[in-house]
Amino acid sequence: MPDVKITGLTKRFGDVVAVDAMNLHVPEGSLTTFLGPSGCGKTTTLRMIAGLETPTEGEIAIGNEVVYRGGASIAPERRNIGMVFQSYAIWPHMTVFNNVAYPLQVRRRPRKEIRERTMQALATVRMTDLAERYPAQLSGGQQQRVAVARAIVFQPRILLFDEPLSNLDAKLREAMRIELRELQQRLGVTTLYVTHDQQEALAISDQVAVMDQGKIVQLDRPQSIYESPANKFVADFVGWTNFLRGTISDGTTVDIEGSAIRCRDTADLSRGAKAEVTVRPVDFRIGDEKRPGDNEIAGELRTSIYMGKYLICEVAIGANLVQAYADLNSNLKIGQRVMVRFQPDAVRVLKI
Amino acid sequence: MAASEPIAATADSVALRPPRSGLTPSSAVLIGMTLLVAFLALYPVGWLVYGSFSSAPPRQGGFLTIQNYINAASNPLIRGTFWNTIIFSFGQMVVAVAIGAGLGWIIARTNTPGRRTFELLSLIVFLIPGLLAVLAWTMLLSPSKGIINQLLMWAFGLEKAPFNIYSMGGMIFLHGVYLAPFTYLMITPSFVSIDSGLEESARMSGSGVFKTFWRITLPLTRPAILSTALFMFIIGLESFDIPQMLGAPYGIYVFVTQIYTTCCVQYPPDYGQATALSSVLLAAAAVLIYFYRRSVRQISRFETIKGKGYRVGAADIGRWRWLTFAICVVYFFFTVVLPLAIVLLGSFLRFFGKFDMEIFNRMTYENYIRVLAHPALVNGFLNSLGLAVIAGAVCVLMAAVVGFITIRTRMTGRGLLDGVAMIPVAYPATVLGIGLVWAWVGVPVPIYGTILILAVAYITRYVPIGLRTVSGGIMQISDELESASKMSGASWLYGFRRIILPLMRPTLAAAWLIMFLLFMRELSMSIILAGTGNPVASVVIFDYYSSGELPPMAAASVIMAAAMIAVVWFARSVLKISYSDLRVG
Repeated sequence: MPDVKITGLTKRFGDVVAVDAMNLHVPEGSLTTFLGPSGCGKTTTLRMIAGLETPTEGEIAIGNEVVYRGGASIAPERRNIGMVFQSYAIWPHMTVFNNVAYPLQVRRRPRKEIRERTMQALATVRMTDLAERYPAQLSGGQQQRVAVARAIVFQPRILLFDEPLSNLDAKLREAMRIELRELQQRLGVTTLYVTHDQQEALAISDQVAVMDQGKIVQLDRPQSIYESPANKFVADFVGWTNFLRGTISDGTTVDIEGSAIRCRDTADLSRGAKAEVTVRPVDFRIGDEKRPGDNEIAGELRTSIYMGKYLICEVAIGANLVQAYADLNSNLKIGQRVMVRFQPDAVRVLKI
Repeated sequence: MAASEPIAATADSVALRPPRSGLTPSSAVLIGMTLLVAFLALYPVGWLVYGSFSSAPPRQGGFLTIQNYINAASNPLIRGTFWNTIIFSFGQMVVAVAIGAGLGWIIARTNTPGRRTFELLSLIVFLIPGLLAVLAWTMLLSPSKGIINQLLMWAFGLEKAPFNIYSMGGMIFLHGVYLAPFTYLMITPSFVSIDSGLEESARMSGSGVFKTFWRITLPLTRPAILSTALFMFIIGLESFDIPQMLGAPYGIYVFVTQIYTTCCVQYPPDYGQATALSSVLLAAAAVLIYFYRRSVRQISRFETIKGKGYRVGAADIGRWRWLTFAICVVYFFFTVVLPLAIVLLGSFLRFFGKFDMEIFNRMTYENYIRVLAHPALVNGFLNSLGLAVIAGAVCVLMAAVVGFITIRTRMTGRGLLDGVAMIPVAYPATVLGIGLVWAWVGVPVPIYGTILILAVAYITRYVPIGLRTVSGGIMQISDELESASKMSGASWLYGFRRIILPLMRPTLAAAWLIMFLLFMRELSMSIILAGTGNPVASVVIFDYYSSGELPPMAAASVIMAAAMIAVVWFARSVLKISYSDLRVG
């Protein structure tokens, strides 16, 4: 299985820069996810790798073969890439079998081989029984499987997924993402996957490329993305939603609203530098016993919302409004002064 | 599946290809198509405008002058014609829009019984050619022969016929009533798209069925109704058959019929005046079409604002639904049942005008035998069928190519192609007909005076309608279906053959059916361009009317209607065209 190398890849639509001088290496056999909000350039990048979109500048190589360089391009139908589209793009006038067999029919394989490989691909996605159905008779999840079977049936060099699960309901989405990951690992095929769902990206990827405004802002293992976001954008995207402004005191302490907050590290910022401090709501506790080493910061309770097992509270700390968790029996009153406690390990310091 | 080798898409070596420059096959198609539609649209009208400034008829020399315009303006008829045109266009617009909007509301927004049947019936009204409607209503309301008039005179002992279809009122009534289904088709989408919650909250606020209609539903659809009204005004301005048959013989002229009379009825013909009047009418139509298209764009902008929790549905209007039911029954009785019955009856009578208890004993097949032995009618039928089938297919093919390039490619110049292809929307049929005469008469190629001139005329005028019909279908084929074929390794041509073409087939078949029906009934251009050497059915049937031979006309109309019904049936059952594929306007 080949790897994918992207160098200086740029796509401009008129004055709009959709993808901005991107560099990326996708190791062979790995699954790399482009994660970002809509309009960040992730789908455009995927379509350029597919050959469906022509880059403005840059180079794309699959294995040893350059598929795009300086205006010269290999047509998408000659790239041997399997792709699953957001809408599945199952042809409504063909049976499941013919949909999946199509890439082999295009390649003029012998009839017997077409039958065998198609049934094998259908077996891989557990759709053998429905081979003679028409797409209109299938559920969303089944159409999704047909699309996957069609993308893998000709043993493509790489696989591309363009938000393949975004049209499924939440329950099915979770089941399908496990299935897709298993399939990818079984086939060992180099895969690029586009999604705007951070949970999905973290669950299935070997590496995640978080994208913002046409640039990769962080490329890392899922765990690193989750634990150590590189900047405020990534942090916000993976659930670090509380942000406080502070000043670096020393290597492990930040001053926020007069309180000295201890943390794991201070992102190599020097003393006196302004910094953004972030803590996940789930790590911000109101009313817990103070354990040794805990940080503590005072604020005023603004609202509290009953969530079943706990309360989610909004607390004003100086000019900042943050979210914190509280126990059900905390007996809190709106407007009262509360102490928010959290461990140093739960704190991340970001450059501004 | 271990790491086996991928199956190469093609045997030949895969290499980087620099971007193609120069003339690729696809850009050749684009350029060729643009030139073709530009030629079809501009060549006849160029000659028409030139002709309006020329002192001599086509190909007979002459010098440039504005005398034609002076002559047209000083024609003693022109003042009356101007006001007749305005009164007729406006009057029939009011009738058509009132009935069309009423039908739209009843069918789309109320629980009136039999709504689905009425929906289908309105399509049938839409398919009834003007010729047939005029024939039927002449038989019903002619002052001397009309059966309704005779019945009323007998019943109330009247001296004089109470109704006269040969009048401005008759023209407005008939035109408005028969175009109402067209306004219904144009207005209904905006009725359908109203969130029923908006009406329900009005009912909850205490307003009744009709107050809700006046205060909520009608204002919400006002933009659509106004733009439809503008379009119907233009249709009235360009209408030929009803004004020509009901008005012109009695001195009631509108612009179009005066043009026709000037160039094709009076002797000697005055081509100069005809082209000058045509140019004026063309300019007026172009301006109105411009405003119409602008209003449509504003509506679509308005309609894209849709929130969630959006629900459509019919409101329960209680016992009022029997009133709306009765209104529909009356409308369809007088537009479909009664006219078809009277034409069928008339086709079996030796002469039309005397009604008594003996009438059924006097019935005869004679008229059918006579018209089927009439060479002009038989040739006309064959020509019409040939044109409708072949020229209809060519028209759809051209529309499909234009639509495909415009919607599915990003080629430079596709906007121009679309713009040029839509130009004939602004052409009144009569004007295009005159332009084609000027453009081809005396040109030493066998086009004028042959069936080809009719094919050229039909195709030129109806490509825009074909384009609108196929565009919806092309847009429904998602881009990703084509991309998926490419990613599967298929060349563009292979994907086109196996994916695009099969998916477009229902749309193309439906568009062809629409063309077939339009071409079969076309009269405005045919009457100018068809001669004894190239007759078409509609013109021959019209000639029966001019010479007052109503029973043979009825027989020929019945045959024509039967042929059209057979084709629609064939399309429905063999080609599997559903009514929802028939997009018009």
